[in-house]
Amino acid sequence: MIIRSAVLEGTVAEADRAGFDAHMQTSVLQAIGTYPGIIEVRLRRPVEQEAGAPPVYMVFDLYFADLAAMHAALASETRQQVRSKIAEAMPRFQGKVYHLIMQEG
Amino acid sequence: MATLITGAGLIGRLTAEMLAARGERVVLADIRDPGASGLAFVHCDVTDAAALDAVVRRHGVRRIVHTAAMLSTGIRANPARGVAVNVVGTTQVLDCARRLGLGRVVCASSTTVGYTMFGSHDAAPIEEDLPMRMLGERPASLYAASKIAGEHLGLLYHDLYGVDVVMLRYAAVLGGGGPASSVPGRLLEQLATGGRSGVPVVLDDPFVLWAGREEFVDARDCARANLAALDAAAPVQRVYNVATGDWCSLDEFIATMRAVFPRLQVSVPRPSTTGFAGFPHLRPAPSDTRLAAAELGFRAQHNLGDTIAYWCRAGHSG
Repeated sequence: MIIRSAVLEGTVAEADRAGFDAHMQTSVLQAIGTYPGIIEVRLRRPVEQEAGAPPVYMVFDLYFADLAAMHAALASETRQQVRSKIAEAMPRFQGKVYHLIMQEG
Repeated sequence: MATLITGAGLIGRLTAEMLAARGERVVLADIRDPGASGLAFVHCDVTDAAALDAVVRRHGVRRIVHTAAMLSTGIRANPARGVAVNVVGTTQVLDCARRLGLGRVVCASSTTVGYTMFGSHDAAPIEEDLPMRMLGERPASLYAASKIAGEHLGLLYHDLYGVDVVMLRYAAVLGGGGPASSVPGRLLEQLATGGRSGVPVVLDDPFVLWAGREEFVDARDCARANLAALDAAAPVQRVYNVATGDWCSLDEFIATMRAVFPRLQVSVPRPSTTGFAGFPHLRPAPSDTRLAAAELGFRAQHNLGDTIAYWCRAGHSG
């Protein structure tokens, strides 16, 4: 099992937060769920911050059977649709986005 | 000897792959290249007689599996093109087989040919020769009308010209892992997306809802049925149902999806009071599959749970 995590590290202004979160929890999550070959997608948000930890705002975890399935999904047309959904919200986000590709065990 | 597969949709591709896997030469024809499938592809519009003849001659085609068609949603958007592809296209395929003296021609039809009889039908299960007795019934959809026309044309090309035709009536076909053009494919995709993401699904497209029960069939079984129909030694009825013999309600369908996706949440704001895909009557029984078993040696292998698990959990894209 491969888990590709999209980490949003940064902040969203207090006034924009509800709208930004709702967009991520519905439109973006739904668009990611249409990736061919994806098994599951989960959205995680920090509940507590410990000293020294980066300021992570939210994390999308995309589950794939293997690396080939992940690369096929990212090479599909769906990626543009996901990117455009994310792009709608990104002006409200200050920070950086990076990806971690990991496996269980 | 090569087999021409018209239509590079899910069933066409699966059929071509299964034939190729047993060492046969196949040519896949469509107006759009399905992409890197590893199969021989030719660009060909089935409404173009000269183009069909050229493909048959160039590739040494002796048999045809004709799956090229426009589905109900496409026909609603462009009725004249739908009739051209489904009725004229089927005629051109049959006529190509007549002119060039080809062997077996297997044509994809649909169980929707019998849907308008559901209101007055009291026998169970739905017999395989049903629509041959229902000329007076209006088919309620252009798609069903085009498929009824195709069946009659196919049987007439057999009766009048000796073309070795077998028509297969697929139940509502499930399969594919990506965006779907068929009504059952859309339902599967919508529920699978909700199941994978945990975002609640609102089923508000009346075409994907149904009251009572409906029958579904795995696209892999449709492809297997195509092979069985190519191989059958002596088909007599020449029209067969490709179905599981089982049927289910929308609630049962959703429950089966939930077994794969425990996070699936579904709401249906306006439950249907009609049959599947907007047809007016509720299905009175599943389709009879005994003739397909007896004459083609075909039995569906995949039940609904198996079908959903295969196409959704593993994320197969067909």
